Amino acid sequence: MNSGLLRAYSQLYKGGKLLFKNPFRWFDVTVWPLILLFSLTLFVSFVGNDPRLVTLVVLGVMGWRAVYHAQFEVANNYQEEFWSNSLTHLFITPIRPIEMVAGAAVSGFLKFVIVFLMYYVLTFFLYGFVVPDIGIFLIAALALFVFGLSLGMITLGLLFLFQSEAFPLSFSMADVFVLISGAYYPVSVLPGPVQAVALLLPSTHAFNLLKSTVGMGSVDWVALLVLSVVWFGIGYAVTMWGFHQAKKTGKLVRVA
Amino acid sequence: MNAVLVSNANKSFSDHGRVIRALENVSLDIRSGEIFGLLGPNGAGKTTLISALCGLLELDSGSVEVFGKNVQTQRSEVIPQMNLVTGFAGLLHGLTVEDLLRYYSFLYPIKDREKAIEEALLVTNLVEKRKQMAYTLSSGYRQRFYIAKALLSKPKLLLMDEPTVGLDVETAIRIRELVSSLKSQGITVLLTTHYMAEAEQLCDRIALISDGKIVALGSVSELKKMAGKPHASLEDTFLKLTKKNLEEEEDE
Repeated sequence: MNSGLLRAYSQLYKGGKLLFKNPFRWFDVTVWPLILLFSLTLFVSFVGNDPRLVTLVVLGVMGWRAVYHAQFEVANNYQEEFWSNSLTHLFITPIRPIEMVAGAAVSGFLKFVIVFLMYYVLTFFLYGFVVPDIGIFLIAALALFVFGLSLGMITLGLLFLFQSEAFPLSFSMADVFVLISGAYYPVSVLPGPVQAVALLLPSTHAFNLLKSTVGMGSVDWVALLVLSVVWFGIGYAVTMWGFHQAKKTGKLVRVA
Repeated sequence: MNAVLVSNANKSFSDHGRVIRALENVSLDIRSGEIFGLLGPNGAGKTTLISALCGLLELDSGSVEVFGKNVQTQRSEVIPQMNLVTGFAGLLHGLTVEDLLRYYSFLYPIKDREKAIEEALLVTNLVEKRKQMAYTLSSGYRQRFYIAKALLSKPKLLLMDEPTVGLDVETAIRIRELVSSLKSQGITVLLTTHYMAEAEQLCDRIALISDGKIVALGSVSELKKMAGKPHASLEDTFLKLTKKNLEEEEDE
């Protein structure tokens, strides 16, 4: 295997070992996703049990988890090393930040797949949920995952710069951006200035894509594609900038 | 060829508006195959210099070359040739000794990974600890682990940051024997330590660093002469030169 791929694989290996050696880490792909799902589907059932609304909510929650697992895995992969104070051992190796991101991305993708399958099986039996258009769903889920990676890289760049002071970003960034992207509601319900911001997010257009499969929301394919590329570029630039700045200031390792 | 060539290295940090000059016009060379000691009081700049050597820290000015390649601009060619042993960094929680070695092995271009892991465990006497969670190792075994991790990649240059600090006498002796054996394998070693006897026993040449400046560089016998008194020890020279440097700083 190519050296770069192996270094990326090392991050997947680490994540896998940590997951399988500690049962509590499974909460991230079981307990928390189920709380999110049922807090919404139970409410929808309570207010009317409209199958279209259930579908809308389930699709939105699935999309939410795509963003979350991509963003959080990239950030948490770094935090694991920080908490163990082992960053020096990692960065003395030939690994590059982009290889850390790539390994964490695969790990995050696998977690998303686990959550997606769990959601699908449960909601199929409980609510008769089926994905209305699997092709559109896959495109939207991919776009949301890529946006999650972009947010993950922005978080990582800020973690390089601000270290533990920036840790709250790891746990909140995906959720904040999903909230203003109209996961299972139109962005028109948001305050005016927030709507303007929402339109600059690829996630808003990806959620619109999901909503379109239940006859709600219109799709702007160009905006989805262009914004996805722009945000990914921003994410990469912030990661690399943060990494180089941290090497200049001595924050990459504690030497000062 | 020199294993390491540091030329006019300067590095400052800002701490709440105060500028700290961690390295000031540091120049030194480390010859291939030698054990080179870097001695200095706490805060003298040893770890800063090592971090610059590893490419973990960018200098304000000056350059660091390892085997003729610039550490910053040719990092991908330089880093696989070196490794670091330091007890000042921790061990990743949740992985066994064997798993953690395997994790680090993926980060280097190693042909036979499992063989390299077995050899590293054997050389450092860690075979019986292979299934133990690495972060639960005692300090002596931790040092062995750091060395095992460093030897995995078969480095040509090994940076050892106080490898015997806090160890009991017997373990420290074993670590020193291991360091000596590295030289016979052709590995160049940069060793930092606070133990003068250790430096005297192991090092071919020594640099004394104080307040970010190299204040002396030479063999043990050459450094002893700098103390300016008969039968001087390395400690005498160390105290004379580092104290003098600090007094000059205070006068300024």
